[in-house]
Amino acid sequence: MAKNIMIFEKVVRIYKDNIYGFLLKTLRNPEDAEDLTQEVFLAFYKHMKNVKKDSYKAYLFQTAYHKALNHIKKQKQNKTYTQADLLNISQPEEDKNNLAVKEKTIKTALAKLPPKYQLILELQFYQNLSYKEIAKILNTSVSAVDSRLVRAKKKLKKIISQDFPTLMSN
Amino acid sequence: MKKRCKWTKKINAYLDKEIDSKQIDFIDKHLKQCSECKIKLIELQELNSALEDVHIQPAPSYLEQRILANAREVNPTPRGLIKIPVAASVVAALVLGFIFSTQTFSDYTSQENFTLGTNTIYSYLEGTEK
Repeated sequence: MAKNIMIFEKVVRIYKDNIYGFLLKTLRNPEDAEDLTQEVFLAFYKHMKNVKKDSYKAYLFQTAYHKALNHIKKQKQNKTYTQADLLNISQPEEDKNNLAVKEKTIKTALAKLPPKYQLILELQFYQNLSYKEIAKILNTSVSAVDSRLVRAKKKLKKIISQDFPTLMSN
Repeated sequence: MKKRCKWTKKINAYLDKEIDSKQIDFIDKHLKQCSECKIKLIELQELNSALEDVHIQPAPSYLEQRILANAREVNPTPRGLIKIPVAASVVAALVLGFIFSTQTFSDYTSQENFTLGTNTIYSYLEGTEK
């Protein structure tokens, strides 16, 4: 058991930034991201014995994915944060080349996507996971991951060209 | 209506290097002739680069300690360490139980022998008196 604790500590050390980063990007709230990161690792700790060593990463992301999805769904019932964010960033037109503005714009556009698209893009771009790894996390096929990514990007592009037409033209 | 090129669907996987080398070679050549796929590639490259501009923020330094503390709360003592005292107490209880029962039995039998012996003496004495 002492060995299990040592393994758990190592897992926390290796993946805490990835899981936190994933949750922060999808939830856009540091406190929620911290809470859910703790929940993810606690769930892992409880089931660690039943998880194969080569599936630790997939298990963590799978748990984080489902927790984020549930959280976003709950949040969307009573939140209109995307409109508020939109008002904030539509002002500095002259700063369109500014990286910070661009980043904020992308974040806002991502926030307008359905949760399943946000999460899959997050897994690919910010966690640098392969289609195979994403498929394992989402419990689906590699071709389904490909299709969902294509749809997610298509939708994201539509949002950007509608709401932030200047972004993609530079 | 113009028919769409079937390879446009593969451009995303091509860009992500998620197809085999044979298909990569084919699409490399195909892109030189197909403007539809070329446009798709440029669009996706733009989108990917915009997505890559968003930076990842590392977890706050205290989070690791908080996670580990939470895990310890769930299982404050390692199971292996619980098993040893439990097993030791069970063994101790069995040994003590055995010793106690043996002693009580011997006490009982010795007392019974004593009583039996006394009675025999009494009856003997009574018999001799008669």
